[in-house]
Amino acid sequence: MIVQAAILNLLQRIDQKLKTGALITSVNIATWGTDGGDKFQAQRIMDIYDEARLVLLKTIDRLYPKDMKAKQISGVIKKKADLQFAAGEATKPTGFLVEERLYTVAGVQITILPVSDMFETEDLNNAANPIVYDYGTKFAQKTADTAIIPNASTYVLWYYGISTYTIADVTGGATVEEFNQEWIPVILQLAEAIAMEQGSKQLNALAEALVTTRI
Amino acid sequence: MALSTEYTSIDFFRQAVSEISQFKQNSKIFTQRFDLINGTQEAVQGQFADLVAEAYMTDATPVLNEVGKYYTSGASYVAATKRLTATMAETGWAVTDVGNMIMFRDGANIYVAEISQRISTTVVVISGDNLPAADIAAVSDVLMAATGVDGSSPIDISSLRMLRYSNQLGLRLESTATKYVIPLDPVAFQKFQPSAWSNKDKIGWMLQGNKLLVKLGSSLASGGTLKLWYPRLPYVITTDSEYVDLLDGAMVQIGILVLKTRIQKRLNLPVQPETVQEMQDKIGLLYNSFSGNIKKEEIQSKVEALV
Repeated sequence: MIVQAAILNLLQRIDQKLKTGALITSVNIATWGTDGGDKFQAQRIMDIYDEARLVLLKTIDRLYPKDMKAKQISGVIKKKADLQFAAGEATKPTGFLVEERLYTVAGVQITILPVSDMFETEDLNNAANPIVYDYGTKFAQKTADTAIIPNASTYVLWYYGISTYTIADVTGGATVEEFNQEWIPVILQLAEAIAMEQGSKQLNALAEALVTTRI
Repeated sequence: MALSTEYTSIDFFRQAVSEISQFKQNSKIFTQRFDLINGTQEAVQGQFADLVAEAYMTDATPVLNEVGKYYTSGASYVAATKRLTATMAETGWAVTDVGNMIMFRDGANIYVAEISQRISTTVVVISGDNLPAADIAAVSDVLMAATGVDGSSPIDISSLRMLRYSNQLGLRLESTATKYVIPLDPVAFQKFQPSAWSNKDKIGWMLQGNKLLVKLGSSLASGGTLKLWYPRLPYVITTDSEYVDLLDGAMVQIGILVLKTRIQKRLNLPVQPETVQEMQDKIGLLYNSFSGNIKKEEIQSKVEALV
């Protein structure tokens, strides 16, 4: 499904008309992009939609077994084959949410751990078993050691990440939604809840209920 | 060379985690995989040592210390720590001197002791009866025999990664000096008379702690080149591409199940009854493949030890 179709679907639920009173359709979507709808600015709709997608991804990540997760949301799995490490550090790609696998060009896995595991693992870090820790916007060794992780731009990272859509993605009419088709109704339901000012507790409960019924 | 030709350590690990959905690649368990595999190898080998020790046999060439040492200068003794300091001719004290007999003199008092620990090239710790009660600032003479007090020559084998599962009869010692190299128990070793007619062409030996004690028959000019065959511990895995050191077949399958249960424990997951059952079946299979028998209760106790 293209993003425009998903947004039109959402607008039908929460803000059907332009300020002029005309129904929002693919024909006048550019006007909506400029002027917004009767109730919400266009950018507010985009923020709501992107937040709903983020909530959905985090809920699936938390609840789904790893093999099912990878199948169900394969659309948001991304591969970066030119990740750069310099002095033991690499910057996470834009839109990064959860790592799946990081390895050298030769295929040696670099294990990404939370900083809380540092004490138990710091002595295990070597060229056959490289370890980096996830902090801030970076993956980094405890102490930079380029003998273990040489400076290069050839590291491969597979990760879950979502793009943040803009109004242009809607008005352009060509951008395809990353989530698989079956998750679009869930995104819309969550977006509707956000638009109705539901708190995060209710929103997370709704997301959990919607995702659980699909496991 | 490791025993398996089918399972690299990463294959082995992947098999173990393949049915554990809670396992994550980016986890501390993955970074600890070499320790987990090494522990599994040793546990499995230890439980089935009676069957598989022969497969792990390897050889070393222990060197028999056949010459003594004498002091050149600077000898002293501290009674409280039983430390003897002396600069010995040629190389100084060596690790291989541990167990050798030593004599030293303070005026007209002559003491006999055994070297129990080597501290450095100039310092050893000695043990024995009637050693000096007070410190000696200047020891007059220090002589070390090539044998222990009982006439045996100790060989330090602490550097060998040896499977110590039963008694020394699992070991074999060979010598180029004689075909008659006899393993002895401690009592027989003590009674072994090198000059007895029946012993003078023989080498008697026994294992004691980290020392191999050797007595040479009186007709032997030297011990020759010795070769000690012993069951080694599994090779330590340090990379993903190394092969595991377990026999392919039932033994490696048992290893995978053991590793699986250890990972489950670290994840606070219960060990499933079917895993235990599968392990029991594989143990039965392992004994069958070696034409051996094992009682059900023994299988049960081995599974309990491994899980």
